[in-house]
Amino acid sequence: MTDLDELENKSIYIIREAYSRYRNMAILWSIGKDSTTLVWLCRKAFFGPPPFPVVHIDTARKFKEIYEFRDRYAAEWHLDLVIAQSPRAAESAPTFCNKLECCTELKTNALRQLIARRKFDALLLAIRRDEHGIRAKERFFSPRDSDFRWNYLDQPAELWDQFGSTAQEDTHLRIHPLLDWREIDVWRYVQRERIPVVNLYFARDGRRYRSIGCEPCCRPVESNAATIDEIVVELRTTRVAERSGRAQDKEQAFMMQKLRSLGYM
Amino acid sequence: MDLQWLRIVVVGHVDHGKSTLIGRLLHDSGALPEGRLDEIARGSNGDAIEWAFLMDHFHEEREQERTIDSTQAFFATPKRVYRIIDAPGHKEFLKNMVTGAAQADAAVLVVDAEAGVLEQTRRHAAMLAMLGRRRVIVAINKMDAAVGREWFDAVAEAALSLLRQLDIAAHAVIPISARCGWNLAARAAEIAWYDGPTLFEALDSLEPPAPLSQLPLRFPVQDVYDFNGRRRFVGRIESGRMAQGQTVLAVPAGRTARIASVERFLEDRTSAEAGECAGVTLDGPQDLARGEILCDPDAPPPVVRRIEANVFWLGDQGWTQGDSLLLRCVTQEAPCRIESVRRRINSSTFETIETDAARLEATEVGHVVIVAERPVAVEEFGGGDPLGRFVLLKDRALSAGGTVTGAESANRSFGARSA
Repeated sequence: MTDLDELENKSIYIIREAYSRYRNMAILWSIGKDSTTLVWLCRKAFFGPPPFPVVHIDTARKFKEIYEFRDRYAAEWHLDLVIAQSPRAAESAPTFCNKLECCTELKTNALRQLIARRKFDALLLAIRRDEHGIRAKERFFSPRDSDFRWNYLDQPAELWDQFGSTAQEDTHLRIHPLLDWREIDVWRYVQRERIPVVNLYFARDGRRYRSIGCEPCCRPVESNAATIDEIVVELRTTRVAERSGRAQDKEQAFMMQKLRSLGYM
Repeated sequence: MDLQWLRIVVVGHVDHGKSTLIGRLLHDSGALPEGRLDEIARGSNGDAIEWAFLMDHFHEEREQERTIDSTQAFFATPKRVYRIIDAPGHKEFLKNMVTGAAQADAAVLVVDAEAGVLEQTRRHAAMLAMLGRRRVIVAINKMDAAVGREWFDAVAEAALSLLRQLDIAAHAVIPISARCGWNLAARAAEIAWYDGPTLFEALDSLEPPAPLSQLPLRFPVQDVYDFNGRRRFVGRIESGRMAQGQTVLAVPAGRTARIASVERFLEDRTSAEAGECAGVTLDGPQDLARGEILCDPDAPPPVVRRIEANVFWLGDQGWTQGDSLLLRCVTQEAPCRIESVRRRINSSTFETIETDAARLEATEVGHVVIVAERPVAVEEFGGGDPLGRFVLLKDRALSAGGTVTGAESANRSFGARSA
């Protein structure tokens, strides 16, 4: 088994484990590459459309490409698509003081309202450890209280693929099947499985989006990577270009080359 | 993929330099993300770069200068890619360390050359033994504090003796300085008298774990799906292989079936092997539920209600005689209680606190007899058999990890099982 096979199998195991315990659950799908990979893994886990809803938190400010992609694949994959939207999303002019307030109202509150209505016991999210320092400490099964607070100092032990405690009243469990995946692992898997991704990731006029959110708050980066294969190459060689000024001995440079060519870095 | 990879946990007493070692390993193999090095250099006082900052993502950790949780990072040597799990050294965070160490293929035990083998060193070594992590490299650290050969030899012997008591033969004992990079990737001229392997060489000489696919079949049923086509029994093959047409024995039910198909979505398959998740359809009983295990009929596991085990108590509430517990072993689940604690052990001194104990506190180890309310399939732990490891839940929280030391065959007093 390759390292991608190990990652894939562990994720499928976690997804199935979650469903075996929490029949009333949902996947959060942001239409980005990570959550689309998560939806793909769920299709694999359940041999077709997942037996629970796929939720898109719609701020009404997404790129049109995102809406098109969402609707196309929700239909093609026969997903039970549920759109969560805050009533304030319909306001056309920016009415919030700052980005935090906007995100809180249009995203967090939209989700909170949906959970209150549907009473989901668990949510699958595409969070990865390497995205941000604080996420490095997450667990596969992570309880949230009714205010969505996360007690990161006192987390349940996860031992031998036995996960989390059973959910208490008034809480839901967040489940993170992609926790061990790095950004490049997601792209390598997308490449291998030919998972469709929204075309905003691909370069147009020398720029592309490395990460996708609402249109007003997203900035593209300079890049000429216009296909998945080119993105994978770019992610590998970016490091080398940045390090090219360093004095490294020959052996180290060779090691980096070998790792890149085998897809580990 | 021809490059192997191994998971390594780095353990030892708090402040003996575990995080520093990991930071150095990342740097020396060229795996440090750009910008991280600058971030560290800016945040450090004085000349020495605080490598430990690399692994400490949490604000609290940096202020307390203590690692709270396990994080993961990669580095590479000429032979392999290693995934490092950094584990905290402080007693409070033992629970977090067990979670990290439980996933490792091998361990590096870090001991401060000046301070020597201390409480956490002993506790972590005991836990490694309990978790079946018997491939251990000892790294005697902080050799840059002008530690002479005789002193090193004394500390090395103390570490080796500690491991011998736990039935572990160390793979190597290496004098290092994580801060200065001595004997990690490159041999240190500063330690002229040492002619053993560097840490990289010692890691590369570790044999990879034995392939699970050659052991008898164990496929614990995780769930049963009736949607998307047909009834499929899903799970992960923990050991062995499954193929279309194969006869299997479901335990603890004790019934035989034939595998009609082995499936993975979007793949054209007739078989699958250890480590793979799959769905199977059966000719035979259709009412098998989660918790049944499809096994090799010629080598089935014992099915018992009475289990002898070592348990490592993690939960803060501890255990008291009479507590109702829940046992989970792969996908099996059974209410149970600890009938007796033959020995109650302090996991850092290895002293027996008492025999016939009625209480276990967090971090203590017990040699126990567990009685389950219904029969479960377990095997002696040995080198890491999946049916040899279990957890105990108390009040719905995972409170202990255990390894099976004896599974008495079902005897007449529990009633006959039909074949």
